[in-house]
Parts: sequence; structure tokens; C-alpha cells
Amino acid sequence: MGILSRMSTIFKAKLNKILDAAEDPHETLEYSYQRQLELLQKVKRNLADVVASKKRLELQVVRLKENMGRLEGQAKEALQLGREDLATAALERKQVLAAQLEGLEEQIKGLEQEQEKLATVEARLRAKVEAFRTKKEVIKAQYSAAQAQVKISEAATGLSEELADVSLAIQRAEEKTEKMRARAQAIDELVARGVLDDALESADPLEAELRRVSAASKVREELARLKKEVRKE
Amino acid sequence: MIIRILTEGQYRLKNEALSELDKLDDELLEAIANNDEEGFNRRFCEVLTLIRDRGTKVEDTELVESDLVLPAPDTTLEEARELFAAYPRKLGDF
Repeated sequence: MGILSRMSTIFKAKLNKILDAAEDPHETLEYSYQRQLELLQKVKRNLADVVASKKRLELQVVRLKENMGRLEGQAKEALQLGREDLATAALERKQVLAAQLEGLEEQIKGLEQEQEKLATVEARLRAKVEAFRTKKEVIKAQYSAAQAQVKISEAATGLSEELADVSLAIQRAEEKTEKMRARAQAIDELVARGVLDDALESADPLEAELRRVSAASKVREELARLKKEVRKE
Repeated sequence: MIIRILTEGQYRLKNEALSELDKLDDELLEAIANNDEEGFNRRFCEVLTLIRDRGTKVEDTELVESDLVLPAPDTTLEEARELFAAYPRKLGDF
């Protein structure tokens, strides 16, 4: 095993450094417990964060849909007044919001996955800690002091690895949630101003051009549909 | 052999599955060396699938140290390259 074992070595080296900082296994044990309680709290906080971010995005979806409805109404009104230019402008704005809406729905799915992951991590950590407590009692009862130290040390290493893993899961969830927040903020501003924010545009000029072409064709389709509706009225 | 997929949990893997993992490991190294993002993503996904499908999940009530610790499933090529410098970047004192 080449690369995989190198990755493991780096991870474990960091873990061992932390374990070596404690002078005896009992100390390691206490340290791990303390960390475990903090971590469980942290997992809960992160879960709450993810849920709050998801709710915020869901609210934005509602607002975007309302705005899209309003713009369509304005386009229709413009057509009735014979102002196709204004109708086109309204439909172009609606397309910008439609693109944001698509992105938002994907983000909500992403947050749902994070929520599930964190819930699983929390359950796993609780079970491991419980296992550790049980093991500790068995070790105390069955082994001499010196042997017990070795056994506790083994269990502490297993638990510490778990704690490190949970820490990483939390860190990644935090990073993702933070990105969502920044994006949600940008969308809030976009909706408030009702204009396209360049920060949300793709950096790839080809992709940006393709989006513009696709949006323009959707605008034409919508315009044709609305014209038919207006003629019927 | 006990393998941990970070953020996911531990699996027990035996004999021929380990040989297959070894082969994928070489290909993964090649993808990282060539800075081949698409190749890295595909190979890493194959590594994880092999472990999940052929391994047995270690019970939540079992406390055991891993022989191998793999990065999280959503690890990017850039992050994988960083692993050689320091891992994890911001784990801090847990």
C-alpha cells in the first residue's frame, strides 16, 4: 500500500502527538472524555446550524418564486400595453432568478445530506464512548495495574481516532455550511436589488455565454407564450 | 486489516480484497502524480466502493485502532496533494 498508507501515516502521526502529550493512559482517558463531551455539543450545534441554513435557503426559494411570478405579471402587463421591450426585460430578469432557484434547490439537497451525515456521526460517537466506559470497567476488574494501563491505552487510542474523525466531519460540515451562508447572502442581495450579481456568474466565459444563449432562448419562448395568452384575453 | 474512511467509519477487509486495494492504490498514486483530477476522483471512488462492498462494517460498540486511515469521501485532488504536507489542515486540538 503506497499512497493510502502514506496518508494514514500522516493522520496517525498527528494523533500520536496528541496522545503522547498525556503522561499516562488515565490522563489520556480523562482528556478524551472531556473532548468527547465538547464534541457531542459541537455536533449538536453544527446540526442546528445546518438546519437553520437549510430553512433560510427554503425561505429564499419561496421569495424567488414570488418574485418570478411578479415579473411574469409585469411582462404580461407590458405586452397588453404594446411594450414588448419592457416585457422582454422582465422575462430576462425572471430567467436570472430561475437560474438561482435551480442552484438553491441543489444546495438544499446538499445540506440535507450534511444533516444526515452529522446525525450518523453523533450516534456513532455516543456508541463508541459507551463501549469505552464498559471496556474500562472490564479492564479494571480483570487486569493488574500494569496490564490495565496497556489495555486502557489501546482503548484510548481507538477512541481518540474516533474523536479525530468526528472533529474532521464537523469541520467539513462547517466549511460547507459557511459556503452556503455566503451564497445565501449573495442571493438575498440579488433578490433585494432584482439585478444580476456578477459574483454569482460563472468564471468560465464559454459557460457564461452558453447560459446567456440558453436564457435568451427561454425568454423568447416565454414571450411567445405570453403573447398568445394576451391575445386570448 | 481495519480501514477507516474518515467521516464515515471503520471496515474490516480481508485477503483478495486487499490485493485489489493495493492495485487501485498504485493507480491512485499515478493519478495524483499526474495531477489528473478526473482520474483521481474515479480511482478514489473505486477505492471507497471496494472497501464498502467487500469489507464488513466495524460495530459502533467496538473500539479498535485502524491499520489504514483514508481521507473523507469528498476529498478533492488538491486536498489529497496537501495530505503530504499536513493532515488535516485545521483539525487543531481535538
